[in-house]
Amino acid sequence: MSKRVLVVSHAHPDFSKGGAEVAAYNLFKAVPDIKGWDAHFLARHGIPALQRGNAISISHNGGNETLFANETDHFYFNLTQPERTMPWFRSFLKGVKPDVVHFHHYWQVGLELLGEVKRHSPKTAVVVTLHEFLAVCSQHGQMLKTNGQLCRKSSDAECHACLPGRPPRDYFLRKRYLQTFFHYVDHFVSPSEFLRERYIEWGIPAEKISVIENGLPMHGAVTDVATPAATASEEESRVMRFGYFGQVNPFKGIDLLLSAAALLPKAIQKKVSIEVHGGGLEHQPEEFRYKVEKLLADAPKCVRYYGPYSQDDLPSIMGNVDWVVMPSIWWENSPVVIQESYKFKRPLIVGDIGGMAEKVKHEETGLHFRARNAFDLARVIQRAVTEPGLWDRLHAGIKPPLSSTDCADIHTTLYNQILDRLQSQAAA
Amino acid sequence: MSGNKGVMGQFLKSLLPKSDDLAAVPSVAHVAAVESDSRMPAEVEPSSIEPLASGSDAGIGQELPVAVGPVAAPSQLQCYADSLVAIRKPAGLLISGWIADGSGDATDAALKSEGRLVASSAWVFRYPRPDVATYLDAANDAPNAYGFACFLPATDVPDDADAALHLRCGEAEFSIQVAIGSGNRDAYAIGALQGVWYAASEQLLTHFGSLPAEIMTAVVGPMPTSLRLHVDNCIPAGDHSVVINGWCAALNKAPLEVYFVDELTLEATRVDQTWERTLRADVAEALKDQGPINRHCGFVCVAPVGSAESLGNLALYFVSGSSIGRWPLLPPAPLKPRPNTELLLGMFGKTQMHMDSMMRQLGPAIETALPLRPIARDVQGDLRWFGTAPKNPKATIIIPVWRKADLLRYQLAALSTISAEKRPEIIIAIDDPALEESIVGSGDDWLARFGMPFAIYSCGYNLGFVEQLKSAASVARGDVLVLMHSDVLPDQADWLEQLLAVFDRQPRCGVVGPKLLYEDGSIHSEGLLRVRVAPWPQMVDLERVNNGHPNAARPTALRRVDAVPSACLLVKRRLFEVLGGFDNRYLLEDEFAVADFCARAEQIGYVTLLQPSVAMRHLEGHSWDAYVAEEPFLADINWRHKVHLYNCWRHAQRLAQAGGRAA
Repeated sequence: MSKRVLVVSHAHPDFSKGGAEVAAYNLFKAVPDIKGWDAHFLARHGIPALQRGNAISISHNGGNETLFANETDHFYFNLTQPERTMPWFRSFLKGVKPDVVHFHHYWQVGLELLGEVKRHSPKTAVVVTLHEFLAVCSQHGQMLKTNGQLCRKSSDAECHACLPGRPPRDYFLRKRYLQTFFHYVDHFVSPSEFLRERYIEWGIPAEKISVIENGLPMHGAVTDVATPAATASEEESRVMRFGYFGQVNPFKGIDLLLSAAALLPKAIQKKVSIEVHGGGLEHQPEEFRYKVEKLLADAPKCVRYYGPYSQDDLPSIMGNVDWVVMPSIWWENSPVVIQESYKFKRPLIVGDIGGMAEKVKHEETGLHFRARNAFDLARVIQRAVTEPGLWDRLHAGIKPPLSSTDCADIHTTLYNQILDRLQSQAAA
Repeated sequence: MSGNKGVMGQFLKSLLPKSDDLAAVPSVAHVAAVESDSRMPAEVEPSSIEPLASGSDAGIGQELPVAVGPVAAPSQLQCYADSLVAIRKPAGLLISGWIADGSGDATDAALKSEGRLVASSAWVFRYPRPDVATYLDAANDAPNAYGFACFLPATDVPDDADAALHLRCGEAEFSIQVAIGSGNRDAYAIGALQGVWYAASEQLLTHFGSLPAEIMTAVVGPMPTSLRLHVDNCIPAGDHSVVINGWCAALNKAPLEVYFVDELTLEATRVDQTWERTLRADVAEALKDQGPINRHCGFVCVAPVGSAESLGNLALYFVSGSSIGRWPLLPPAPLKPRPNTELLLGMFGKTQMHMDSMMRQLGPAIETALPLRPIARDVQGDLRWFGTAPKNPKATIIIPVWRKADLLRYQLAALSTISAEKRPEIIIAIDDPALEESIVGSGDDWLARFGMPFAIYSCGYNLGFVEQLKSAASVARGDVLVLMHSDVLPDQADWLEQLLAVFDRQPRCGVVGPKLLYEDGSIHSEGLLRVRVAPWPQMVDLERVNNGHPNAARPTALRRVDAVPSACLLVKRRLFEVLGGFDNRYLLEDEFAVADFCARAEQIGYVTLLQPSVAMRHLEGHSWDAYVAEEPFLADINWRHKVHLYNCWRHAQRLAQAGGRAA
């Protein structure tokens, strides 16, 4: 009889394309490929039109996918309606009978569900994949202070200084409270070492967190697309293309890239094409919107703003740039853009901090620049354009990203270890 | 008091020294009489004073309706009647005045009106009149002058009548013309008696001691002018005592006795030998122009009262020589325990020079003035379960809640990590009726969120920490009571298991507590030790062991301590019951109540242990603003210190009573 993992996600990728829900869904889809395992997917939604009467959950896509209507607060990640959600979840667990419940994210899911799994059965393993620094940082989980500075470690006093609306004690209590729920977790998964270390500093025992990169479905992969850069040195007149992919928001550093473009020497500007692929600017704060719009208006001709793209378009647009630029001004965790770049064997230019610096090996699979520094970004872009053989060397250093199947294999191995341990503890 | 006819006089007389001693005692009142006698201006020629119109409506403090006449005989005799007053009870006439150059003491007096004998008396008493003597000395070559007063019993005293007062003075007999007035005779009597009170208290008491008490108490006073005093507070302390504080400064060196008198029962307590003198530099400064004033002229004393009815009938009596002065004490405000406790604490001198003796005065008073709350045994609480109560719990966690309940959510979440098979009974004991609705209203939410059964216990009263705990303990089922403030969060999931194990390993252990940490991880306490308070060795303080130290590389071995903080402790329920729970006469600082309990447990062979391998976070001060809202004086650090000193004093007293080890 197969073991069963219930993958719980804060969203379903059919409705939202965030990295966490995509990673969760990829895992769910890949687990059945591993012998002796099957999976069920439970995704939270907040879409009223999906609800059927007072029912909390509905099936989705047929088979093993369930959606449940739910909300949490943004400070404690607690259910807003525990009296409804908890009995339903209890009942749901009885029906699915999972051996492992694997939560991707706890935001919008509800931390109380962690404890409910253990009350349902102490032998059921609880695994949580940490996707952001939400527990560590109540400033959107980004460890980016309200004054724009990077935050390196949370503390009651510093959190209060950053977000003075609450006294320091609230941050102490929040941490203790969240840790109380984390007590029920048998093991944590972090997609990056950087994020793992932040959570260890915050209080999770090191032995309880493993790093497992998010898996990427490799079907349709263009593993070695045409390499326009390979001919660049032969054709001096050819323009080198740099691509920005992702949401256009204050944290992703689009303004930094546009500033860097303006700082490039004229001669270099003529040799580059900086392409911005991403949407969402219209949803950003007015101040940021104005800034980006002005930068775009004043940008040199080498800058082109293409707007949103779909995942299906990615092979053509990412496959047609030479470099992928990630100018994020925050740490990042394990950006899917980096994995996608590797999938298309595109070297990256990234800030030298956090998950970006970890995932992109300087001078091996890409180049680092001093994060949050437009001058240095311009310098690195200039180097990428002018240094012969650089692109080829970095391109050659790129390995394919972890596939969903391999990722599922690693996960199920971990599940088995945890289940064995729980069984031993129960026997003892 | 009107029913005490005659008793007041006897009582007052009892305050006076024996007559034999009087001659040797310089009289404050003697001086006072000179200073205060406005009825004998020096420039007035006694013999030239014209008779006053009879029937004057003068009242107390004004010239009395006295008619006086020139001396009739003998010619060298000078006589003057200051007052003639008809008194209803005992019926008769009170006449006072002075005589100079008499050949002997006046011994008989008679009053005739229109030839008819109105009244007569075989006694006339004399008293010093230095004012008259001083005046006549200058005018008439040192005549022998003295005051006289007599009471002539009479049942039928005419109003508004002219009369002749016949006096026998040695061999001489003479008469002076007087007029009998009408009007408020009690008031006139009081005025007349006051005129001679300081000069002749004893004689007046001898002859007029049977006057109604209200007249006598009005007569006795005001204070002699050589005495300055003020009573700042008269505070009920329990049902049978009051605390009085104020200041009293004598401008001369005359001996002074001060009595606290319950005028309802006429119980007098001499207080000047036992009262505590306090520094009153303000008084000394204010009176510096009037003579040298002792800077420690303040006083605090505790005095007994017969009953609550006595509170409106209290006075201080000042006895100096043969004089008695009275300072009526305003009826104390109705019993208001908190303000009264606050006032009592406020009586601690800022320098605390005499803290120990101050505490002897005030400590018992504070104990009895503490808020009178319902007692646990008298109230019936309701226990409401959320979820199913655990079967046969080994321990019962009691969480008292007062004023703030916002940390309960965090605490219950933390407690929910205790595995189901080891789950204790959890009782949230609401000691604040105002919180009951919100806590009960959150019950279902907490149960759903944390999946852990718990009960809410409420009496509908604010019993106070000690009584509420006692009340909640009465419904507990665990053999071990875990007292846990709502601002305590465990650091580890197996905290309860580890602490309970101490009882199994150490049968003599009655109380065990964990190490407490502040939220920043530094040490709140590793148990409590009793220590002497350096300036006042009769007080016992509680020292938080290693308070404020970093929590690094600390020993983790189980060890003995004098007590553990009230924030979190485990106590055997049977022991708790046998000792009657915690003592409820400490102020605000629950640690003393626990230390008191531990000391009593020690007396019967139990020990208190600290298990440092278990750490709990204590968010101390979380409820402080609520405390200050309730007791605003606590916002002042000096007040907090006073509260603390009181507790130190009480702890020392209790240890001494129990014969326990102090420090």
